[in-house]
Amino acid sequence: MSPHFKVPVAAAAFAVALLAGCTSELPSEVGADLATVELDSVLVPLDVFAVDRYSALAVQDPDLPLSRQQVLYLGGQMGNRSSILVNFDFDAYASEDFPESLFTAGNIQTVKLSLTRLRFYGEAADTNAPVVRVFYRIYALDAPFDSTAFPGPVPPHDGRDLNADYFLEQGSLPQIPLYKSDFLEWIAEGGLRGFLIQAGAESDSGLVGFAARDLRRFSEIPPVAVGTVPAPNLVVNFASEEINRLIPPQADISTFDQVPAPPAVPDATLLVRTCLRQYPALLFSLAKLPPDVYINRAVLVLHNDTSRSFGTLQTLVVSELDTGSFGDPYGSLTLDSLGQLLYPVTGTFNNDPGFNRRFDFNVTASLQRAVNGAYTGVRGFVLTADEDFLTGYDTAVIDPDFYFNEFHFHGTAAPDSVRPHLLIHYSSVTGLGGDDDE
Amino acid sequence: MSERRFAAPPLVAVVLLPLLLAVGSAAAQTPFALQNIGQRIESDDARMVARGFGMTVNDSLHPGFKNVASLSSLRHVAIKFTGFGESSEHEDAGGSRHTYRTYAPDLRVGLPVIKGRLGLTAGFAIFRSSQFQTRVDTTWQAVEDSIIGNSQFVREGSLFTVPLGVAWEPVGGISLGASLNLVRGAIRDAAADFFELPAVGGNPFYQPNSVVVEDRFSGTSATVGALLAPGRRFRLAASYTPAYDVDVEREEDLQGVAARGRSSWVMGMPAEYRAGFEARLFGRWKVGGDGLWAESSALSGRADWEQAAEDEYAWSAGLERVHARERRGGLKNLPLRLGTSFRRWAYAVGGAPVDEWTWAAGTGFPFRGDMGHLDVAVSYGRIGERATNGRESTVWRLTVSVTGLETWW
Repeated sequence: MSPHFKVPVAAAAFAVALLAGCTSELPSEVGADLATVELDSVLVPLDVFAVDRYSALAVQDPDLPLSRQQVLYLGGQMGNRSSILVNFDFDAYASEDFPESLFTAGNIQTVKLSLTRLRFYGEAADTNAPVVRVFYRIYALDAPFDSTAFPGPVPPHDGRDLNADYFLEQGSLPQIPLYKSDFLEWIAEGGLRGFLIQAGAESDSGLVGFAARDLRRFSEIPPVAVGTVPAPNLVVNFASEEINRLIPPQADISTFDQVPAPPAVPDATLLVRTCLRQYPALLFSLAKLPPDVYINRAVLVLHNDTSRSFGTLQTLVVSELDTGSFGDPYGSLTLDSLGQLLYPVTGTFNNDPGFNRRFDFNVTASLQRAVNGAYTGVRGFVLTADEDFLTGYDTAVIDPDFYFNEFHFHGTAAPDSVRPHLLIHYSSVTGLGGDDDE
Repeated sequence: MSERRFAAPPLVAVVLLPLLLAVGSAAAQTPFALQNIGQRIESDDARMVARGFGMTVNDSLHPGFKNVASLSSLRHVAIKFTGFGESSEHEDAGGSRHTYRTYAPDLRVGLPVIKGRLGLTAGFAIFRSSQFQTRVDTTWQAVEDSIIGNSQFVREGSLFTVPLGVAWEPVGGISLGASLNLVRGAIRDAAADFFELPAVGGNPFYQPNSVVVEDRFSGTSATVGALLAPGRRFRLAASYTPAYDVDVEREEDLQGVAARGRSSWVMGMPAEYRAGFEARLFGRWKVGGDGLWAESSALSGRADWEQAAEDEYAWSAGLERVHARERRGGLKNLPLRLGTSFRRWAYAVGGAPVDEWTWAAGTGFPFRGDMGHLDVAVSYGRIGERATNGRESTVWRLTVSVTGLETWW
């Protein structure tokens, strides 16, 4: 190419390259009226109140029987009632540091039963929960308790108060005085002896948690003296010794002698309970949802009855559960089997049962899968706490077996404003789902 | 290949590269292309665009591919690439929008079998193009939320042919040609609703909608052409593409929904008639013109398209001062081309036919030994009218064609 042609060629190339580098103005309304494709319907609302199936699932953890739980519950709340049972071995009251010779009427000054309230139930409560005043009654059981009998009725006892001053105001670390003479009689007789700790009738309503001998979450109790074993201990004070003898329990347990069963129908309430796990499962009717729609948003809306719910801050998780695993209406599952059956969908954290009223669980993706026929069976929703297998939601160090919390969600017979429902917004186009050869 | 026989490959690459890189970034053309079968893209090279005629090309050193019969004159292997960049202004009731676009619609190869008598051709040519995007800020009312967002629509796609042709000059001055054209392509219409507010954590409460409707086209057409060059001063040409059928497969996809909508039909494409002439005036000056008539109102297969279909016709005419080889002629040796064209689109928009006027000028630069050309054309066009179509587009376009010649045998 001759040199004088290179200039226009280069100019042309430069011009094209320059034009290619220009940027169009952003799309605008220009031409919008000529758009040929649009959705037939956008954000169509559908409020689904109808529940096809309901199940109340009781979940047990065989690896953690009631006698191994870290918390002992005392008192009553929302129909639940529990006392504390403790067995002491009076063949082992003495030790190398505290020989039997110290345990004389003259040397023993006081004998007390010590308890350790969990911080949440103590005077320094870190939630809005009111402090519950408890007046303790202590009785000797007719026989040491059998841990396999609980939850169950309170074992028989002679009905004689063992504590010396019943109306003594106690705080977070109650030290309940016992009669020295009783104690001397117990050690004289030796053997295993059971005791019942009950909340007296004058106590405030409320279920209060205390440290059990198996407590490991020490962050949940107030500071205690070095060497203290936070459990129901017998504390013996000697005239001759500077330190007290703590006699730990041989066994302890909550009786949960009265725990109402969840309703057989979801009309009145949907109950989520931790500790003695109880989880509700629901299958909403999707009969009014057209096929092959796109779910823009689907929210499971539950309204918490704060006047009935109680407990600590709690994570709540909505998962899918095949209706084949639903009970009719009661079902019972082990924790492991529940973990294998659930497909977590969404969850919310730090829910205060006494404060948070409305819960919106985003189940959009789950509902879209149902629309798409992604499942071989039919899946409903189950509401649980943050179990270990719900890895995305198990952010707390406290497992659901620790605190006894109850969420009472308004049931299906409640007014529309608080009924459980699926609030769906969907969009659609016609012609999906089939071949149409013209 | 020797440099003497082929025109500066690196320079060709310099021109082609930005075009090729920009093909994928074609951003917009005109809102008129949002409807029906889309905007007609002619397989005119820059020389034809500038001077307004191309059916009658019969030049072995500067071949044209518009009329398959033109290729009987081939004496070298010819490769031609045409691309363009355009700057457009679009106006309608929604305001105005300025867009830029680059496009590479045409790549052709011609092979001489018997030099000057029999040639073969193949290539790739886009003949319908659709590309435009719109966005409208919108609000929706949900049960518990007032939603702010926008609705967007984008149409993109093209119909193209892969012509496999042969041209033959049985007797001097008369050339005949025929091509079998594989017709392929797809047009994709996508609409989306973006719900921006309310949002939580930066994510919208409401999942956006997106529906995509894609039509895939597959068919075969045939074209026959003739070119009559009784002397050096006058030429006539014509071509005919009979009506043909295109199979259309549609897939409709609503994002997130497993079910798909599928349908298929046969689209009847109209016959096309083309003709052209050119005449030498005096000195280096030529005059000529091309015409097209397509019975597009007979388009069948889609009711909505049929309703708006119009018979398409177009004419173009212009002048060319052909290039010279005078020593020290300088710029006077360059070709000079001026032309104008009119086209009535194959479909109406806004209830009225769409008319497109274009005025163009251009020139060209031969490569060493006339073994190829670089042609450029600058054109200004106006599509539609606000008064009748409700919208109007004006287009400045730079068309660049590169023709390379090579002696392979």
